[in-house]
Amino acid sequence: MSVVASQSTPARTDERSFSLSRFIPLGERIVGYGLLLFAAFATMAPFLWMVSTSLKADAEVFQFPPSFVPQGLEWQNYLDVIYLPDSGRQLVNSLVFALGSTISNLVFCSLAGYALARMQFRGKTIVFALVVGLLMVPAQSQIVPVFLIVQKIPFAGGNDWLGNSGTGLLNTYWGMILPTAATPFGIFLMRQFFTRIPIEYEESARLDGAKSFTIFWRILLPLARPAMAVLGVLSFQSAWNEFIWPLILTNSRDMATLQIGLQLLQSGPDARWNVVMAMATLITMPIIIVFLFAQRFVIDGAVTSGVKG
Amino acid sequence: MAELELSGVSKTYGAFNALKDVSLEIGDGEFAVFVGPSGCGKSTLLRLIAGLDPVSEGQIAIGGKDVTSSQAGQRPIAMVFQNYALYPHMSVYDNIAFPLQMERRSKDEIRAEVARAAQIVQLSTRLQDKPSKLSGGQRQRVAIARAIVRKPGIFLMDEPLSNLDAALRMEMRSELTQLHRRLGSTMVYVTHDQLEAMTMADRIVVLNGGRVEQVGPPMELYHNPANLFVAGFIGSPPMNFLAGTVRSVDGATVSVDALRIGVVTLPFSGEHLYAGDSVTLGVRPEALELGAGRQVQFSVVPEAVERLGLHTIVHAGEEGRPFTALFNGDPKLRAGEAINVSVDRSSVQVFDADGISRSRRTEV
Amino acid sequence: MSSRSATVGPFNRTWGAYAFLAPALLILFLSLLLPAIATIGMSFTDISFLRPTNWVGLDNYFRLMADGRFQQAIGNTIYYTLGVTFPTMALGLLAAVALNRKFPFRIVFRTIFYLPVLTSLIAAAVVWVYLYEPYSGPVNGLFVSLGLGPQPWLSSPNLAMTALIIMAVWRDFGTAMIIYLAGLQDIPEEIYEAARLDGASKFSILWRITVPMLASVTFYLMIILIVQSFQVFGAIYVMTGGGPLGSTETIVFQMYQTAFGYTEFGYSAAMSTVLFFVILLFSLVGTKIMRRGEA
Ligand SMILES: Nc1ncnc2c1ncn2[C@@H]1O[C@H](COP(=O)(O)OP(=O)(O)OP(=O)(O)O)[C@@H](O)[C@H]1O
Ligand SMILES: [Mg+2]
Repeated sequence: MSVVASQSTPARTDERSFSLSRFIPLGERIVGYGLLLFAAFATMAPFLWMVSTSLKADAEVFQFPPSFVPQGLEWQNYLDVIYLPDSGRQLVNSLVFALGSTISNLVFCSLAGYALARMQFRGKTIVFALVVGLLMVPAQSQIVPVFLIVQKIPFAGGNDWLGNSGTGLLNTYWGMILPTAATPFGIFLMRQFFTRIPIEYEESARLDGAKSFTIFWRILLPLARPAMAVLGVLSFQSAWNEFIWPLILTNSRDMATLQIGLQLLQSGPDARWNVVMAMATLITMPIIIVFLFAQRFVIDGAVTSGVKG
Repeated sequence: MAELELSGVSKTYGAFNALKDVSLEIGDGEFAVFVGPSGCGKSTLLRLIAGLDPVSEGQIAIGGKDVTSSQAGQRPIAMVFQNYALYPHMSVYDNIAFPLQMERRSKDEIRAEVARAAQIVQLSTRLQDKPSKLSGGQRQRVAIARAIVRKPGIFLMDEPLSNLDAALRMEMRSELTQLHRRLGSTMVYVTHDQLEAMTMADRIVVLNGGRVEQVGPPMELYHNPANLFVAGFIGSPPMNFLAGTVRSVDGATVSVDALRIGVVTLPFSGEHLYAGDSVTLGVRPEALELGAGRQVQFSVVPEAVERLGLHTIVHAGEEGRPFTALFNGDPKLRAGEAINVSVDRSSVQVFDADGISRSRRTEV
Repeated sequence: MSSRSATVGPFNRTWGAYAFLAPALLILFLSLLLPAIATIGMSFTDISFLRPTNWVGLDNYFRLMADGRFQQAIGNTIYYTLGVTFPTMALGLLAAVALNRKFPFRIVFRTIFYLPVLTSLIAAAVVWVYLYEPYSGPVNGLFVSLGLGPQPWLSSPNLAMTALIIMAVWRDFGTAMIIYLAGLQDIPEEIYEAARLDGASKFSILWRITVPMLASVTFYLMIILIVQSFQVFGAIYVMTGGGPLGSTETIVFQMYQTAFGYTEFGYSAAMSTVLFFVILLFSLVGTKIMRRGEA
């Protein structure tokens, strides 16, 4: 919920133009900017230290008090991260996990959201109430049973039909993706969006002889692009940053994601802060870039979808 | 081959009766217009014909075939929506091609059909544009082209011109009429604008409160409205109503004592009317003439005079009851100065206490 | 043409709808509903997968009530939750009020304040471990240059929790800001203009108009933050491992250890159930408030 607000509000904020600045005295404005700059700097400080340390040579890291601006640019730290024995594997795992989770969320949440928004069927109210109810179930407090369920999926990983005697989907991509493959939030988001699309599009297509799936695929899904963008960005972000499910549902080195890799690197016996920070920088950048790109995209989407077609 | 027949059609939403026992026949090639005030069930009736909603009771047949239980896409109809419902993410070409793609027609065939339809609506040059780039009238034409390619037995249109400005609406009105003549297919057209109904329709269906009030050609409804509702709804400015009481009935004439005009003797047989009955007299504003040239004469005091050049409208309401007169040209009149007006006896209509017309000449 | 009855026949697309819903519902069933039910069931057993499972009734709950460590974890969780929730809301509100007007670089500031939210928990935790590093970390560097002594941040039982709270506030106030910005958008501009014409000062406008009008947003935000803080795990796993001396051990962390460290799944499930109902309670209250706000 919280993050959706983050995606949709900026657009609205921009539309509203009330410019008080003309009335605010110059002195006050300078103080205001000063405070904001200070707050922005304080917020950025951990990032700046992260990047700064990631560029320091080994010796400089242990200097006290630490220097904010590195003496030289030690790009070798980044190469060290890239040449870590598992980092390639971890990148692949993270990408498979994040993309798999994103795609499955886009597919399953939009299908379910469409059905809840636009189709008539018995038990609709109950299903919707269930989805809203599940919004409140704290996912993190379910680690134990989810572990067991993933382990006991029948016929997977050497399991018999009762789900015994094997490892199920533990240590597999499928197992990691499963708990995040569809979320009540995603379904809710898509349903809300589909509800707002004028019904005439759909009726017109029905008159032209289109079937439910065609209407969904050819008409509503393209119209839902802004909502899909929001859902996609959020799903990708939360899967890329996910720590608990990969931690619990995998225990082999081969399945570790970048987040786990970073934690292992930092807690390892010969951790070097500059290399750890280089890896933290490398992990953080993609999400920030995706956001900077998506922020515009999502805002555009919100603006366009408000215009009558 | 696509006449439309509704028999005893009703529609309820929960406890609310949106349509009550509607029976209608619309002939092949006819241009039928549903007209009525907002909320009277026009759109609902159209949606039932389209198959977008199921009927609660009754049957619908198209081209002699019962389609009551067939799905929306399976009926030989096409619909133009009030807001056009053009798919905003598809080009004009794709919008028009969509119904054909649903029928799984070949690519070449689709291209030819789209080109033909685009040419009919004069949009051949805009096929690659997105609907958002088009003007209101152009969007309207795309919606029509999308309906044309289906080659439907019946075209359904729900207030298709209501989003356009006045000038464009007039232009589109005549274009639609020409289109109807050219395609020769049955059209069912919904509007709440009686002017649109009068100018376009072969036959008008007046709906009110979910019921059919009267069905007939525009001039029939104009000259011989079946009841007070139709009389007041058709014609602009609306008909003047004057409360009155029946004095006597003699088989060939009816004598009525009415507000403003006093006692008049009207040339109607007066069936179902008896001395002492309360009635309402109806006089069209345009039937009134300045001066004493006609049989029924009385005087009114204009409170406002609207000069439109071609004619002049005089408002002379009294005690909260509106009264208007419409005169040709630009006579010298002034608000507050009494004028004499007159009207033919045969132009005065009589409605009984239930609002049913008693002066109506039923064709033999 | 098949003649089915008009009321159900063509307009009944029930089966299609079920097909659209089935995959998502299956996943929700496996990842949320079944686990929630299973947790409650398991909490009445001594399941550990090492020996046969026995039904133990309410024993796990009795044990919890007497478990000093669990009580410490509850205390820690509440301390952490309160420590995170209120400063986060206060900072978020300030940032939102500051950014709720047009001025150059507004979007830049908003993006900067939102960046910590985007950072992965692990990356943030790792960076903060470095910042808190006692011998070469920047925080102590700052303390020393200000003339204060260096502090053993994460290795002192007195300071560790505070250090975690500071990091959490840094990470979360961007969320609060965004939610407050949304709330501010819904306050009609005329109200502010009227207040200004009435001669209200900036502070009284904030305190007498903005804050009360944001009441339902505030409450909703508070619930989210409380529910989220109650479930804190990753930061603790990375930064302190529950130490020093159990001073940062929270409920979910203890749950994890009890299950995957000591393989006492039944006992862990009882902890989870307690947590689950506490959170559910908060969520329900929150949802209710949110509904009222919308109405
Ligand atoms: N889905 C529905 N559920 C309940 N009531 C409905 C529904 N659709 C229409 N109605 C009701 O049926 C009545 C007729 O509606 P309809 O849309 O047919 O009116 P209309 O004649 O097209 O009016 P307008 O000129 O405003 O478009 C209205 O009172 C409306 O409130
Ligand atoms: Mg309508």
